[in-house]
Parts: sequence; C-alpha cells; structure tokens
Amino acid sequence: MAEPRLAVQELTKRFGGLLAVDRCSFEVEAGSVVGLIGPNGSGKSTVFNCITNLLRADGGKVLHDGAPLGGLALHEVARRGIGRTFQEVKIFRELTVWENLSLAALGRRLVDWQPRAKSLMADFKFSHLEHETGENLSIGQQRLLEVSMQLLVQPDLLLLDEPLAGVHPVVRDTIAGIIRHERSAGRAILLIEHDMRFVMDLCDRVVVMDHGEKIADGPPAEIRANEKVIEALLGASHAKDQAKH
Amino acid sequence: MSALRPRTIAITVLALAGLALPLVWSHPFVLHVAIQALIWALFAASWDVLSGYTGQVSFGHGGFFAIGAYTAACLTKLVGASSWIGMVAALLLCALVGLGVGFPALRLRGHYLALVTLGFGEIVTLVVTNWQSLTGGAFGMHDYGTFSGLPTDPLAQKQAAYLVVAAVSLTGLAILLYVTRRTNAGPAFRAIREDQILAASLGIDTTHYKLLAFSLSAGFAGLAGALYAYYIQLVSPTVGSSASSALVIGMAVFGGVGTIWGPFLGAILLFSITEGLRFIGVVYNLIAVGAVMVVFVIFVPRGLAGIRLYRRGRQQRGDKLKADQEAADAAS
Repeated sequence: MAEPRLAVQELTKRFGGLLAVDRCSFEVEAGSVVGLIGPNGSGKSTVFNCITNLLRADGGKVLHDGAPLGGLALHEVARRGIGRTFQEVKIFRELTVWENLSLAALGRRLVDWQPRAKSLMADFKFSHLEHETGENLSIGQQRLLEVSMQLLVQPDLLLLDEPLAGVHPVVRDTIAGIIRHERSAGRAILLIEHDMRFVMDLCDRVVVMDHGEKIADGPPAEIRANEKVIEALLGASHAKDQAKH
Repeated sequence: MSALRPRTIAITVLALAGLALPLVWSHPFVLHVAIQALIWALFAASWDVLSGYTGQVSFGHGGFFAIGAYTAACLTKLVGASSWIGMVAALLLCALVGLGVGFPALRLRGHYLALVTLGFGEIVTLVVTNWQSLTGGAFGMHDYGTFSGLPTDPLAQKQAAYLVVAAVSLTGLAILLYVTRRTNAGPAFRAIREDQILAASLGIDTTHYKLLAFSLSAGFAGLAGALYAYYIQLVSPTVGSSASSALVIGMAVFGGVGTIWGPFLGAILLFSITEGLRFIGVVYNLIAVGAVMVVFVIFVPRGLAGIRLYRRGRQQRGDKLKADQEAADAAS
C-alpha cells in the first residue's frame, strides 16, 4: 500500500504553559483535498507551521511520502515539494509580480519556468499586472499571486491557509477552480478555511480541531452531523437546539 | 534595447569623463580628494550589499575596514609583502571574518543585529588600540610603504595612485554589480530583505545567502581599508570607529540603498562636497554635509538612485491607469 502524501502522527506543540496542539494525527492522500477546520485559536495554523518546520514540534512526527520532515530547514521542506500559503497573505510587496514569480522559481531551481508563469498569470487574469509591484495589487490579486507562486513550482503537497480571507466572491470561485484542478492533477491539498460551505463543497475529508485536539475526522456529510463539531464551531446552545429538532 | 543604447553610451562617456577629470586637472588636492572619494565609494558599495540588498543593517562596517587596513599595513611592514598581496589578503581575511560575524547574525534581525554589528566594530577598535606590539596602539602604524612600483615624482606618484585606486574600486564595483544583478544571489538577497520566512518557504536557502552577503560585503570593505592604508600611509584605531561606520551609512543613504551604484556615486559626491567645502571651515563643511543628508533622508529617502526609481514607478502607474481606462472604455 502506498504511503500517504502527508502523515501527521501525534503532533504536539506547546507555547510555554499553553498546549497549542495536542497529539494530533491525520493523513492526506495524493489527489485529495482535506479541510482542517476549527474555531480561532484551535491550533490549525500551528499545525501548518509544524508541518513546514517554521515551528519545531515538541512531539510527534510528520511524514511526507513516508519520509520524516523533522530536522529539515524551512527551505529544505519546500524543496521536498511542499508548498504553503499564509493566513496573512505573503508576497514580496516591493517587487513586481514577475519578480515574485521568478523568486518562486529560484527557490526550487526551476529552469524554463517562464511559459508556465505567463500561463498562470493569464489563467488568473493578472497578466496586465506583470510589472506592477505587489503592494499595488488588491487583496484578491495578492492572494492569487501567492497561490500562483506555489503552483508555478508544482508542489505535490499544497497547504492553503485561509485562501478566501478578504477576497471578492469572483476570486473565491477562481480559487475553488484552482483547488479542483490541482486535485485532479494528483496533488494533495490541506486547506484551512472558515467558510464552511466552501470547505464542505470542496473537501474529500475534513479534520476538526478544538483547543489543540483533533475532535473529528471524516467525510463532510459525517462532520456536518457530528455534535461535538457543531458544539465546537457554533457553541453548546446551538448543539442542544439541533438535538431538540 | 536600441532605445537604451544612446543613454548607456551617454552615461559611460560621462562616467569616463568624470574619472579622467582628476588626471586632466592634475592638482594634488583634486587627486587627493578623488582618491579618497573612490575608496569611500567602494566601502559604501560593500556596505550596501549586506545592508541595502539583504536588509541586514550593519553599524559596524568600520570594523571590517579597519581589519583590511591593518592587514595590509602589517603584511607590508612586517613581512615585506607587496601592496597587491596586501590587498588580496585584506579582502580574503575580511571575507572570512565576515563569515564568522554572519553566523550569530543568522538568528538575529533588526535592532538586535544592528547591536551585534555595532559591538563588533567596537571590539575591533579596542583590539587594535590595545594590541600595541602589532598595531602600534593608539598611535597607529606608519612607514610601511605605499602601492608597489609608483613613480618618485610627487605629482606623478599621486596620479599613479589615483589610477590604482580607480582600477581596484571600479573592479570591486563591477564584481558587486555582477553578483547582485547577474547571479541568483541578487534576487535571493532582495527576497531575504523583503521577507525571510516567505523566501525560505519558497525553497531559498536564506542561511547560505545571508552568509554570502556578509562575506562579500566584509571582503570588499576590507579591500577598501587596504586601499586607504596604502594611500594615506597611516592606520590608526579611528579608521574602525563607529564614526566611520556612520559616515558610510550616510553615504549609502544619500546615494540610494539597494542599488550598489547609488552608494558608490553617493560616496563620491558626498566626500567631494565635504572636502570641496573646506574653504568655509572644517566644522562648517561637516555641518553643511549633515544638512544635505538630513534633507535627503526627509525628502528623498531613497537617495539619488531613488529619484530614478521613483520616476520609473510613477511612469508604470501612469501606464497602468491608462491601460485600465482603455480596458474600461472597450468594455463599455
């Protein structure tokens, strides 16, 4: 049996006395989209940061195609084929769109990346902004540029941290299209998002976290009906109301 | 390309004319100012590689300058090495020291890094002041010879020294420009300056490039120090003082950080202004230069090079607005 693209095993992270992630385990298969949801402060972004080694985990393991990622530097994780975006959009704001894309290519030592970069710019409709600096783009355009920088290098595992934050509904549809396309291309995608309709429509599986713990893991239909999830996301009173009806 | 050619030719002709001026107007004072201006220009360009391009602001570059100057003086005085060997040794030793200083800097940013570099400059000053048997202490080193093979006639000697310094400084400038513009290091440096976490997340080995920037920058600062030692013929602990570091930062800011050629040009102009205004008094000329720097920081924060960049940015925004307007018209 093939190894999952990503296996998070008993991942633990503490910040002083606060247990931010508590023995969290889940897997992401190639060609699938897994949603990672939970209330603010539940530890979702910390999981992302531990997977990519931006933060060192205090316990547990992260495996990529069966190979451990622990101990690798941030850039080495990226070179293994793991791309990520950030909760607050991260692009090189003083550099042009083209320079941003060229740095993504530089990081993975790509050659002949220019046609693909032009194609991505055309697909996401910002070809006319090629020479514009990042700071002059709208939030939606910045988000698309950030995603394009990752897609340019064709990572086999893509971590998207709240890709819809602050974007226009049109851009939201574009991002949904990107995710579907990348899944059909065989990429594994782990998605943090607060828009439940978006998550439930797109994801093959959903992992739910609360207070650093994984409280549920299953297909969207199952997660929708899970009382613990409803309580964590909407509060205990809403869960009781649901039960009465 | 063809549109650029006349401008490139014009800039080249102007630069060559400027470089030839001290040889045509061969007054000892003019040559003296021109030589020192070129030394400071190389020093400022070297600072810019680390602090302008990579964003790792150094307040202790005078330390590298001093190590380069003392290395050259010691090798020539104690071993009898030629000035060429002295210059190469100064460059290599400072590059190595830069690598050593760069290691703790890998974990530091902003104010903390600035403090470490400031401390490094002070340590160098203290060492050369107290290591009297090697450095001559507070009195410094002298009588160690100038550039190898210069003529004995005073004016011809100054002219030849000018040519040596110009050749070394311009070669240094060319190497720094080549590395930052024609290799992967330039974009990687800029990525680190903009956002280290994003750069690393894209697969850029930020540790490698930060150490490269430290090493390259320190090496050429040391080479500038060696040129200074061979020309001035006296090296004392003041060359590595925080005042030297502050002056080179001022020159880089005046020229425009992050461009290499901006700080090079800025240093030439600022040093020439300082020396050219000596006739108004040795304190008043410094006040005048200080005023120029204050005006630049407030009104032209990107320096001389920034004026050009600003105009280009404004042009781009103008083009974009025009294109958006045309697209909107076409849509309606």
